[in-house]
Amino acid sequence: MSEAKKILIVDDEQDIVETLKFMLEAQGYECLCAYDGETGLNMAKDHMPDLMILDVMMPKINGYKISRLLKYDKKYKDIPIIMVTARSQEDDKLIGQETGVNEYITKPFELDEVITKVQEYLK
Amino acid sequence: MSKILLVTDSETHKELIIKTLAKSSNTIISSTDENAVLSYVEKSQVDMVIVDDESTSIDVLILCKKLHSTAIKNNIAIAAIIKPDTENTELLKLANVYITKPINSKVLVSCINGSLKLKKAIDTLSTNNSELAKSLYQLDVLYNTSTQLAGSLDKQKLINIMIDGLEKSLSFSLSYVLVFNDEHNIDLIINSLYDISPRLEHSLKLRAILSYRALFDKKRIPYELNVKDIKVIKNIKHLFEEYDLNILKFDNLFAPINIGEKFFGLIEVFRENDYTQEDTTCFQTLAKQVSLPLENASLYEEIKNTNTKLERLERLKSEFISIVSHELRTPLTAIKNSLEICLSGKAGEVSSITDKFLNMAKRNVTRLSGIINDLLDLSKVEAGKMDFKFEKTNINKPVEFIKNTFENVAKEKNIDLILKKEENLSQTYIDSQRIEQVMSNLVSNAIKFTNENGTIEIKTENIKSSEINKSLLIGVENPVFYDNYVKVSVKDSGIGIAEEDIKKVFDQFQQIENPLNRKNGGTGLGLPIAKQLIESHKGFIWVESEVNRGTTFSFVIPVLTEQEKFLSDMDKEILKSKTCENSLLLVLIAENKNTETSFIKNIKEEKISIIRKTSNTKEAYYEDDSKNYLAIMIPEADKFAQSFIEKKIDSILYNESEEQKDCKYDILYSTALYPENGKNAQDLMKTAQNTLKEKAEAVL
Repeated sequence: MSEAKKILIVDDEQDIVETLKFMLEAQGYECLCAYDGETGLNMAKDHMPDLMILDVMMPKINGYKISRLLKYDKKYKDIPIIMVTARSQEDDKLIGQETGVNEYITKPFELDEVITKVQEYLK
Repeated sequence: MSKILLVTDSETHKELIIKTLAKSSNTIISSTDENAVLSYVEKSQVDMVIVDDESTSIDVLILCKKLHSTAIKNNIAIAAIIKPDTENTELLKLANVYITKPINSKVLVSCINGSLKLKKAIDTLSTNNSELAKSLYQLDVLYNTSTQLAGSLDKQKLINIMIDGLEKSLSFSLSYVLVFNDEHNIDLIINSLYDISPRLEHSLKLRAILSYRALFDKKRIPYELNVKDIKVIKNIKHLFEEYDLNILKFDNLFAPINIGEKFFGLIEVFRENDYTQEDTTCFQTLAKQVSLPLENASLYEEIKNTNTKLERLERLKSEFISIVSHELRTPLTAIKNSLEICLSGKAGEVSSITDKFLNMAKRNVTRLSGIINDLLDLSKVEAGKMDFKFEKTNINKPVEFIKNTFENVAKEKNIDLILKKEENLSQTYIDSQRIEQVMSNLVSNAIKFTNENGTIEIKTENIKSSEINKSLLIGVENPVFYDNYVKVSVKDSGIGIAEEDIKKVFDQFQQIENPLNRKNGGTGLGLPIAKQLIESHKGFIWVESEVNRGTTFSFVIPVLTEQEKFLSDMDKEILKSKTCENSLLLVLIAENKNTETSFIKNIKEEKISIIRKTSNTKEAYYEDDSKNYLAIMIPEADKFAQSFIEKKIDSILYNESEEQKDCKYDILYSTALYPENGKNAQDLMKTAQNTLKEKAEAVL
């Protein structure tokens, strides 16, 4: 197997980042973490991850904006984005689709669910 | 006794007349001075004038001409003594009675007395009349004022209306009203013809306080009142003159103003002329009349405040639930994730006993998220924020899905789960996911409360509105029934519900309040949510139960035609428009069925998309015996949008190619605007239909 796939997790909830990171690393992925939108966006540009897990409500730049900025940029548009959020109204899902998010998972989620999705995209 | 003025310079006549008339106790004065005579008549100092046409020192005809109008005005009769062969017809016309010479004393007396009696009668009549007119006027003012009073719920306005009414009926010079808004907010409203001196203003304040204290006599005064607490509001008509203290010597009327049992204020009015008994009555009536509307106004204010408070609380509750639920989800996710990691064994080996407790924690976290989801659902559906995806489909599908989902759970308890479905079930507009939610709740409840080896039967059927037992519907305000329904029921052989609890099953948090049921878990929100969801489908849900025999939950969903569905959607849209005061436009297009190619379908597919693009529209296609219809609703449209869209449709329908010209009269359209053309969807549709009919007749 070649180099481990890189996953960038952006969420201001450190505990959630940590649990996700633990499980993903156990699956053999390399994880990068950011705890606010701005850092997350910069890290995405600097490290070119293979996949992003993105929260919506975050300080500085929210998840939708990050998704929009990346998905409308040729260089980054192919990075799959999984949106994870406590917001679950239909409108929010629509906004997610409009901003180019690949998957939309609402909290509280099953870790297995996230892992399955990640595996689907990183096959 | 009457006063008679005699104008003659014939001493014989004078002597005779005085002698004759004095007998019937009349006072007679005599004068031949024209100015003196005119002055007597003008000032109404005499009751009658007798003129002699043979006077030489005065021209009787000219005198009579001059007297004529004043005499009529003051109701003074003129009697003329004339020569029998007189040709002076003018004089005859001016006089009320005439006596020919030679004077016959009997004729004279009867003539004069008759005239005097008539005068008296007329005088009494006119006094009565003017009094009548005055009381009529006062009545009129009273009536108008009371009408105005009844129409207002604003305290300040009510006081103004009362003062206005008083001014019209009593024409006072000055009035003041002392109004207690609350303990430290006391107004003295002064309405005055002329400006008032500072001295007078101060003494009016003092007078108001004294009157106020006097009202309560020896009883305790509600509030202690100080001059400095009083705020003066002045309404002055003319500023060029000023009233001083002497106005306090004027005649006055005074009354307290009460709101129900409570004291509200007092009013006093001053007038230069004395008040009559009628004036007093009128004044008191008005002061009393204002009480009831003032009471209404206070009540209205109270209700309004309470209402705003309630609305705010309701909104806060919804927001609170929504925020809290969202906030709870994040930590819950972290807990759940951590538990999963531990359980997976990736964070170190887990002993069987640790595993047991970790699983217990995980189970409860899952339960907690379920509760949070319920709370969110309920707050959403209550606030009307839940989005439904209605589709015309067979309700058997979601029902069957839930039956399959619960089959295993039922098997574990050895419960027989049966589905009896009607194969020819009518299609209904439902949101399948929401129906699944309701069914899942009903079936899981049934399993929960049914003992092992019991039976649960799910049944679907077509029913008529008349087959619904309306007495079983609880907490439904102004139910609307449609003709046909599909009914789904879940019947268990469980513990049943006590009669006194049946009414409460759809109440929120009911189960939490009932410790007996508590052990069975759940929030007690499932049934209230189910009720809300079914009612959002325009359906009803109810329960029948017998303790220890079992419970049956049933719900019905109406079978709507496309038109009915459209109308109900439109009513929903109108409800939304109401809160933001928007309009809504209905466009109705009809074509005769004999048309070879359905033009409407063409339009529906292509042309109307132009309209559709303008805003968030919905449309329905339906037909009757002779016509096909396309109805479109356009929210947030106004009159301008209406004419714009009409032009657009005109250009689509009538300015097309030659071949379509033939069918020009086979297709017609009309529009109706909410709220101008109707207050609900039904009305709008009626208006549109009528316009269509008129247009069709015009074409024929």
